Amino acid sequence: MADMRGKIQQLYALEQLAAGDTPIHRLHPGAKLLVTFVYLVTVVSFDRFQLGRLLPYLIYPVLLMSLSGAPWGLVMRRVALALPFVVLAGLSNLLFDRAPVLVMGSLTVTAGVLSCASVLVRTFLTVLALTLLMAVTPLLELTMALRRIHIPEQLITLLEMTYRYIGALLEEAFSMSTAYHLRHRQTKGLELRHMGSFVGNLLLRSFDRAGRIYSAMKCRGYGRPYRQPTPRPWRWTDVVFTILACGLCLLFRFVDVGLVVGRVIGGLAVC
Amino acid sequence: MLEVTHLKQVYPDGTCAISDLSFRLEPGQRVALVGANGAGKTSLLLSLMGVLPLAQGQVRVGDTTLSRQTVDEIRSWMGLVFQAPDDQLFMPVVREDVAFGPRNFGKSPAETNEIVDQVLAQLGISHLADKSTTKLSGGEKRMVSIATVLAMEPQVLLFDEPTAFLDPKARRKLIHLLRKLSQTQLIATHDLPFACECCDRVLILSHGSLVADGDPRTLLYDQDQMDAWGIEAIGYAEF
Repeated sequence: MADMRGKIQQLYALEQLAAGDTPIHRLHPGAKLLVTFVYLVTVVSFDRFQLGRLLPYLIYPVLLMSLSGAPWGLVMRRVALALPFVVLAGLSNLLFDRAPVLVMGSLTVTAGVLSCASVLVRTFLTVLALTLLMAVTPLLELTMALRRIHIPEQLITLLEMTYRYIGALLEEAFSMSTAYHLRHRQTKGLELRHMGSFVGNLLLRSFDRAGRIYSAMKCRGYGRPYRQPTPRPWRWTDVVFTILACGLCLLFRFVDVGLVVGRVIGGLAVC
Repeated sequence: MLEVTHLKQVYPDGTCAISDLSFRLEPGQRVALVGANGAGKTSLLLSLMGVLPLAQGQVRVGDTTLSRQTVDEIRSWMGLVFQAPDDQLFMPVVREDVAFGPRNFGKSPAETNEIVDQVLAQLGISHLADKSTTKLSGGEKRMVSIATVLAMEPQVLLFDEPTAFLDPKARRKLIHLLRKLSQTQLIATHDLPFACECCDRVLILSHGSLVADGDPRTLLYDQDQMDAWGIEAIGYAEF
């Protein structure tokens, strides 16, 4: 837990990026939310064997990252956090789906390999799109946009609270761990016999801390019947961004761009 | 301005935190609230904000009496600066944290930005606007906590141990700031020299009851009386 302070900083690093001022940051949060939604739906709608069709979907996140100045390293590290869970899920495909779909000499590609790769690529793309949405839109604007499209209030509150309390939990764990190691010869980890009381105390302390944070939020008007501020009007740049980005997602979904490009290049070569 | 009448507050386990407390603050007054640990200072402040329910009694701000129906109105007029800035600052960036209150009270984004810039400039911390709230020093956190409350344009300010975690220089800066603010202020503190320097009236709490109300320069130096209330008077030393 020695680098927990760094973890806390990392947790909020994306939100700090969201406070930036680039053309992407200035876009209407509703536009970014809508584009991300269309992107996610189209990416997950592909058949598990259509791996090649997913590649053009890299264009959107790459463009977004370049235009918003979001650091690649930070974004990729956040995306990488989600991948181990999916790798475990994908591995089961390798084991259980062994029907050959492609034979190249002595190399046989099974359906399991393709579907495993497909799951990984789809997860990578969707988590990347969501991470970028967080990196270019402050949480408050995002939740306002969600309220405007009438997502249930309970879900939005859950999102806001989880986001805030994870930090509180990590901070409490950091101070407890420091106090523990200063009075214990073991410099890393916890002894098993101390684990129970450590975790129990951590939960109680976090619960108290969460209560105090909630009081502070209530004192500043949180939880009152939400008075929606006048929504920022959509500008022509928001409309153009939405039409272009959604149009591209739909184009990649319904047209095999790789095939078309291949035919065009093939046609040119014949000419 | 702020009137508390026969206030009683009981914890869920039946412990009486505050009993039969009455006082009145006039507009623009700066009043210290002093008492030993567990005397009920924080409970009183939370009760005034409607965070802890009142078992009995009345809290009035202007013409409005605190009730379930008026609690939002009361919170728009009265702001509480918490003892630990880490509890008060829950947004990742300073600007977002200061904007939290005004946004909840229905200000437009343009109005909110204007208020945030104005308040940060008033406190001389405009340079912190885009900084992470987790990367601030203790003094900076305290200033930002005050900014988050001032941004709601309250008429009454409540402070819970504002000098806690501050070095002497930051403490001095805070005293200057509190003196400059025109709002009515109720300041719970253990820092008696601070109370003497900053406030023109002191309320002393002991076991949840108001035991004295008067001039801090007289009350806080009375060693026998302060000892009876479980507080160490100014100038007391045991070598």
